[in-house]
Parts: sequence; C-alpha cells; structure tokens
Amino acid sequence: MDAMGGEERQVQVRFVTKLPEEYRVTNASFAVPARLTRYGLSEVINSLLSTEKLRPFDFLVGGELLRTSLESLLVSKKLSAETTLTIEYIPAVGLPKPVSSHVHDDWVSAINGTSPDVLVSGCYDGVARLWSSSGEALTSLQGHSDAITSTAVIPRASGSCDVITASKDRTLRVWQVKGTDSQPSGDLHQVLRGHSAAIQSVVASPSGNEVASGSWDTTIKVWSVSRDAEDGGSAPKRQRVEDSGAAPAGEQEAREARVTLEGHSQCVSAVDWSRADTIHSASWDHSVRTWDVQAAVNTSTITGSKVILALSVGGEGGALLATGGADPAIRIWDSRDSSSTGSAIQLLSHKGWITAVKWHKTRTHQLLSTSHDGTVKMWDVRSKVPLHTVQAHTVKALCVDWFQEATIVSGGADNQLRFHALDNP
Amino acid sequence: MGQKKQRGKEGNAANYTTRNQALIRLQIKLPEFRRLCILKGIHPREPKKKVHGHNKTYYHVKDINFLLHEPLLQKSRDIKAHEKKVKKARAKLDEALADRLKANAPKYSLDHLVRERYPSFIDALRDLDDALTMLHLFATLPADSKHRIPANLVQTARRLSLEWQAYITKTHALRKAFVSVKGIYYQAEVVGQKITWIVPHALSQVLPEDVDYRVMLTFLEFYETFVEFVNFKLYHSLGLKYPPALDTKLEEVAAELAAAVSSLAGETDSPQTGGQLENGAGASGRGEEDSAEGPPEGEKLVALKEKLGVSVAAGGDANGGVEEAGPWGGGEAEEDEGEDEEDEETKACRGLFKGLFFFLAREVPHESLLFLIRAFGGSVSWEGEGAPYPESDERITHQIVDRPTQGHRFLSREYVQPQWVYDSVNNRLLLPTEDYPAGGSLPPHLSPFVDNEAEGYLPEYAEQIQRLRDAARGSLGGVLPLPGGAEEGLEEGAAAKAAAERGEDLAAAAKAAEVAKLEQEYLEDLRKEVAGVPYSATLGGGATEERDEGGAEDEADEGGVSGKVTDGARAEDDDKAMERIMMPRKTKKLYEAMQMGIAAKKAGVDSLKKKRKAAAAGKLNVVKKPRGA
Repeated sequence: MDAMGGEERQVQVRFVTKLPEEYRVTNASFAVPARLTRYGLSEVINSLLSTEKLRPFDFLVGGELLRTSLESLLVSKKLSAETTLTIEYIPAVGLPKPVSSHVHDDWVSAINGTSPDVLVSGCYDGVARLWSSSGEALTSLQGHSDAITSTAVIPRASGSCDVITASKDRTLRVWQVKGTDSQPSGDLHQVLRGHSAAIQSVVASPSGNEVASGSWDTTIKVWSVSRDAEDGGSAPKRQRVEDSGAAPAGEQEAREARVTLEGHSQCVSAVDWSRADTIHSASWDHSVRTWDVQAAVNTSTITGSKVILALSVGGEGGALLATGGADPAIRIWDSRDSSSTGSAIQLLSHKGWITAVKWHKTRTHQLLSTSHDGTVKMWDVRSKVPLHTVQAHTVKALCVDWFQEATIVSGGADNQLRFHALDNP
Repeated sequence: MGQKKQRGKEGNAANYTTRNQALIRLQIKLPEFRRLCILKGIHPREPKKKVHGHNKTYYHVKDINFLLHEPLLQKSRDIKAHEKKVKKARAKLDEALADRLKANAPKYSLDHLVRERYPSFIDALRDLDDALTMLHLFATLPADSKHRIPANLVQTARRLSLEWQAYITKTHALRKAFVSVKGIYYQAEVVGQKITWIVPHALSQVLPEDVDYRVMLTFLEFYETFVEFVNFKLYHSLGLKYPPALDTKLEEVAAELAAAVSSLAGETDSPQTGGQLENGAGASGRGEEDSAEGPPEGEKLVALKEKLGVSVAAGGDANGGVEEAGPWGGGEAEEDEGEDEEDEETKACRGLFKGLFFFLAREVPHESLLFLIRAFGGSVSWEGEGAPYPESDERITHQIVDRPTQGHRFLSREYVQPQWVYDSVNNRLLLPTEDYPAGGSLPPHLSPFVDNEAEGYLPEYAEQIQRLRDAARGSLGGVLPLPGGAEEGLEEGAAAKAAAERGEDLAAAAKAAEVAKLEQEYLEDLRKEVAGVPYSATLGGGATEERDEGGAEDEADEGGVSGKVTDGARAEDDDKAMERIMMPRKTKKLYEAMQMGIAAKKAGVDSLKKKRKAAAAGKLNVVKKPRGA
C-alpha cells in the first residue's frame, strides 16, 4: 500500500467477450483504477457501449468471476500490476423476484421441472401435484399411502408425459399425464414394488425407458417403464403388452426390477442418471458411487467425510458431481478425475445442512442449492461467492429445481412451494 | 413429594468407601490390598464430600466390588494358607512333608489381568510408556537381597527390554532420541502409536532407601507380564517366533550375564560393584566399558537382531507357534504392518545411516549407540569380543569417540562425538561432522520433544539445521533420505486428508463469513446498478475522499464506505469487549487463565530472545577485544 502515496494505482486491462456484436467494445487496452470492483468495471463497459439504460455485467478474470477489487485480485493471484489483464465480460445474472407461493397440506419434499409445460411437486401428504408455468395448480395425482420423497418426469410425445413418484410406502408409481399443454389429467399406469424399505430417490434415464430408484434398503433398483404399448417392440415386450391388455384398464400390476445394484451400506439418498448407462448415487454411508447399468457393477466410488443427502450431475461436460450433506459445504467432484481424493471445489455459504443441489441443464455453470437454513442459493461455480441468496422458507428448505428457462421453484418444511423468476438469466 | 431419602443410601456416602472398610470387606491385609490395587489398576478417588472424614483414603464401591470378584484374591488366601501349612510342618520337624508341600505351592499368573485391562492391542500400546521405562530401569538395577529385588525379575526385565529394542531396530520404528541427565529418552512409533520411554544411563545404580521397593516390584511384576504379551504380539505380527531363540554363542553370553547378576545379588559390596561406582562417579554417563554386563549386553542385542533377520528370511516355520494363546487374538486389522506397507517416515529412518560403517570406541555408551545406529540402518562395530569388524577395517566411515586424543587416527574416517549420532537422528539429516570434533566443544543438544513452532522460539542451532536441511533438499534432491521428502509424501497421504478435513471444519466458519461479506457487497452493487445508479454516482464526494487505508478488500469500496470501515473495526473491538463482559464467570476465568498462559509463554520467549541478543553482543565484544589489544 505504500506505493500509492497520493497517486491512484492503475491497472492495464483489455476487455473481451463472447457476446454478439452490439455488445463488443474496442480491443484496445485501458488503464483503470485498481480499486474498481465489478460495479465500476460494469460502468466502464456501459459507457464504452454508451447504452441508454444501465446493463449490469459480470467479469471473468482467469476463469473466475471478479468479486473483489482488481487490486486485491492481483494480490491474491500474485499477478504483476504491470501486465495487461484480460477481462471477459458477460451479462450479470439478474435478481430473482418472488412470483407466487402455494401452501400445501404437509412438507413439500420433491420438485421436478423436467417437463417444459408442467411442474411436478411431491408432498408429505402422499399427493403429487402438477403446476403450470404461471403457478396455477392443474391437477393432483393421488394414490400413495405415505409421503412422496422424490419425483421424476419423462417427457413423451407432445402434450403428454410420464410422472414417476417415489414414496415412503415402498412403491414407485408411474402416472401417464395427458394434455400437459392445455388441461392435464393423470392416470395411474403402473405400481412398481420391490424395495423392502422406504424409497428415497428416483430418477429417469436420459432415454426415457427406465427409471432408477434409491431406497433405505441400501439398494438401487432399475425399472423398465417404456411405453411399449404405443411403441410396439420386441417379443418379450409384446408379452407384456398382452399382459397389460388382460389387466384391467388403468392400473397395471408391478413389474420386477430389471437390475438391482447393491453396494451401499446405508440409505441411498440421491440418484442421478446423466449418461446412457451411468448412474451416480449418493448415500448416507458417505460415498458417491458410479454404476454401469448394463453390467450392473460399481465402477468407481468417491468417499467423503459426511453423510450425503443430495447429488446432482451436470456442469461442464456433464461430469461434475455436486453433493451436499450433513454439513454446510457443497462439494463438487470431478468424475473424470479418479485420482484426486478430495473434492475439486467447496462452496461454503450455507449455514445449515444441504438438502438439495441442482445443476442447470444448459447453463452449465449455474447451480442451485437449498439448506436447512431455509435459503435457496444460486451459484456460478466460477466463483466461491453465491450469485444470489433467497430466503425462500422460514424453516428448512427441502427441494429445489429449475423450471423452464428462468424460474426457480423450491419447497420446504413450512409447507410452501415458492416460485422465483430470474429477470436476466 | 417423593419418599424421604435415607441417610447413607445414595450419593457420596453410598458410592465411596474408605480404605479400612474396603479391607474389612475384602478380608485382606493392607499390603495385599495395595498389591491387588496396583495389579488391577484401581486407584483411590477424591469424592466431593468426604462423608467419613477428611483424612481418609476413599475408593469407589464399584472398584471394591470389582476386586471382590478377582481370582487373585482367593489365590492369595490359598498361598497364605499354604504357607501356614509349611510353617506348621516345619514346626513339627516334619521336613519331608514341608518339602513336599513346598514343591506343590500354589502358583498364580497375571495373564488374565492383561487381557482384562487392555481389551485391544492399541490400548496396550498406548499404556506402554511406563511399563517400558520401569523395565529398562530394573534392567540396569542390581538384584539386591537387601531390598528384596529378586534376580529372576531383573533378568526377565533385561530380556524383555532387549526383545523390545530388537523389535524396534528390526522395524526401524525409532523416531527420536534425547540424552538428558535422567537418562536417554527414546520415542518409537509402533502401529501408529507414539511410545516414549526412558533408559537410565549405564552406570551402577545406587538404590535409594526412601523408595518403597515392594510397590515398585508389584508394578514390575505386572509390567513384565504385560510387555511379554506386547512383545509376543509384535513378534508374531512380523512372523517371528517368540520368545526369540538365541544361538549357542549367545547362550554362553547370557549364562555369563546370569552369573554376573546372581553374584551381584549375593554380595552387594563386591569389588566389582565398587569399581563400577568409581567409574560411574567419574564419567558423565559414558563410562560403560568396565561394567560387567555392558559389552555382553551389546553382543546379545546384536545377536538377537541377527537372529531376527534370519528368522524373517526363513519365514513360515515360525508361524507354527502363533496360534497358541494370542492375547489380542488373530484377525485384527492392525496385524499386517509388514515391510511392504512401510510409511515414508520409516523409509527415511531406515535409510539415514545406510551404507555407513560405525566404530564405537571403548569409552562411549555402547548399548544406546548400537540401538540407535542399527535402528537407523547403519552398520556398527565395537572394540572387544564378538565385534563384526575390527577398528582397522577400511570401510569404517565414522568412529564415535569421546576422548580428546586418539592413539592412531585413520584419515579415511570421521571422528565424532556420540552427540552427533543423536542430533543426526533427531533431524533425519547427517549433520556436518566438523561441529562435533573429538575433544572439541559441542553445539547444544536440542530436544526433539520440543515443538519449536508451538513454543514460538527457534534456537539458533535449530535455525542452522533448518538451513542445512533446506540446502540439502535443494542440492541433493533425493540422494539423502531427507525428512522433507517424507513430509511431503505424507501430506499427500491419509494424514493430509484427515488434516484437510479438520482444517475444513475450522476454516469453514471464517470462509463463510468472508463469502457472506463479498456476496453482500455484490448484491448491493447489483441492486443499485439494476436500479440505474451508475458507479460514479455512488462515489459522492469524489476523489478526495476516496483514500481508505483499510485492508486490501476494503479498497474495493467506494469512498463513502471508508468511514464505515473504521467504524466496523471499532465495532469489532466493541463486540469483543462485549463478549468478554457477557461470558459466564467460569468461562471468563478459563479465558483469563488462557490469556495468562499465553502471556507467560510469550514472556519466556522474549526473555530467551533477549538473552540470545545479549550473548551475541557479549561474543562480539569478546571477539573485538583481542583485536583491539
């Protein structure tokens, strides 16, 4: 600090961007005051672009979002103040605004926004509900005798989808929902029995033909749920078609699980199915396991130090595992790098246990998390500082998901289902 | 309203009993009671309320009940009854009966107590420090009839301590050694446990009169059983036979040793001991050559180690006897700590003196140096019988001497004082031998048991060694077995993982606070920006106000915040003061005591630094004066 007697210290910077032409600025380098933060730099860009209305920008230096001043960045990165700093700018993510909230009869424990038309929420009263994008309740799927813990959605031909609900009553139920674009209605299609304890998590395969469920009985079961009645199929499938024809309309009785994956020693708290035949599962036994579905073997295991409650696979290349559990840290592991023992990144900001994490499907840097402190946090993994924190729930927040492009939906132990919209994702 | 409490039915009155009451309950005499308590590991308690008076010794009632079930209690009664029978027979002049009875005297063993007190092997290792110290002490004591120290106990102590040392040497488990006035401190790491023990200097010991030898011997008796169990387990974990069989030459040495011990037991004032005393008074812990058991002892250790090497090579045959009576049963997880999974540190220790040949002069302490050099991978010989190579051997690289003048100096080898070995071992680095010349003054012998970082003071010599180590690491890379390498290796291993996880938790709070602050700033800025307020507008007063001398992070803030920052610092101080005020008295006292402790430590360090400065100045004067003159 002694160097900066009366004069202000300057840093040479050059701005680059991947934004379309109208947001480009000149390639020349500028000298800007070293004490500028994102806010200051954003004004520099705005003035260079001579925009009418201020448009907030975020800045990337060396692949990390700028959250301190340039000066302290140089100090922490041990960069020379003499060199020209290349700064990439991107539009800043806007503030989330509360849209609506809906009271349930019990804890809201599961949310799924995979379908572009309807949002599915699962509740501890055993009812799954469908919501429109504007936040209206459309229909409810009743049938479980105990709390719903997790839901999965398989989009089908236009205007229909399959909803799979996992419950503490040890069953999975497959519902066929029609008319999702106008007035949806759901019929129970199958009941999948086989787990010997409460089911904690369910996920659909990318192909939409199978679902995987993780349970308190420490196993993961893979079930076939293809709508072969419509598709037509191979011989054994046709057999089942005949069965379904014989069975009374509506409910079709359970099929056996196709594969059972055994290996965890505690409750399987979360499963995710990212690529065609790879399942990731997280468990109370502190481990995250990767399974090859075809061979039904555990291909790799990551062991942490805490009970893991939430898992999401995504990020760049779909290879990052975000986990959260019985401590306030969100840990991100790289599944490609099996040599390292620790997590690649740790995000520390929550004040309670992490209950859910969720990567965005297309914007691969963005991650949502919820915690027992009642907040929903949105992260850009290029920074250790969360983008936004929403105090969505008064008590524990339990689940969160993205819906459509820019809506964040969360549910909690205060029986609320809350919608938040991002104004500039 | 509950029932009326009856006096003496609960609380301290019911939970604690006085020693006399316990004696009555157990129906034994005080010495027997003391003995039992030592063997069972029962000690007197300090109840909050001493119901039966303040000058009494209290025991927990449960402990006494525990003693009541002890098979040894019945055994001691049997022995007593038997003694009476013998006495009666003798009184009736029935020698035949007395002899027959004597031959059938009831015997007892303490094996069950070891099993009871140490359910797992790790427990046993954790409690080994005292046992080893006691064994090593008695191993050097004379068997003395006046103090009723039986020869067989001393012999067993000697054998067990040798077995232990042989194991440590074999596995290169020794980590630290420090010569003090009390004796030589050693620290070894066995199955992940740090075990520290003291070995007295090899001088003839004077038995002080104010020590209760009966108590000591009771402890010794238990410890011998205990260490035998531990040795058994350790030897079997290496696939060695236990007890290690000695070769014929060694048997002779052992016999000689036994003879020496028993002769000592017979006549305490023999000229031999007198000679030892003389010798002991003269030298500072290094006059070993005259003591009768010195050199044979060394040989015994050497032979034992050689034997170990052979048995390992032979392999399987030793495993035949493993199954019988394994105290901490087979199939335990820690059993396989063989050579294949030696950690980095063991490797470093094994390689320290590798390829070096030592020769011990007559006047240096053989036993300790033999132990040390072999534990760190060197070869060693000595003057006297059974030496592996003579003094004239060309391979010898270091000769350990403690006399200023040498009869004949070999140019091919270094002449160093024994301290060089200890210091090199503690620093895991071959120190320059010039600092330890024969007859010269020595650098300070720094204790490896002091954590300089925790103490906050780094002695000058430690600094010097640190520089040497850095230099060695830089220039030699992997040639020398440097501890640096080992530490780095460990850091990547499990230890580092654990440490990282621990650190994770500790750092989490601080990190979260920082993140929260940054997030808050970011959000505020973003909100303003979304509202359409440009950055320059928030600067308010402009450039004149902008200087803020806070931390690097605070510089990021606009000028208007600068006042807030100092406010923040003040608020932090206030918070601290408030916290102290709000502390409960107990916590506050603890806090103050901690502060006092920290201050005292700091004062100590300061005074050391001052002294050092003064000493340096003094030295400078001393150097200057002759120049001026």
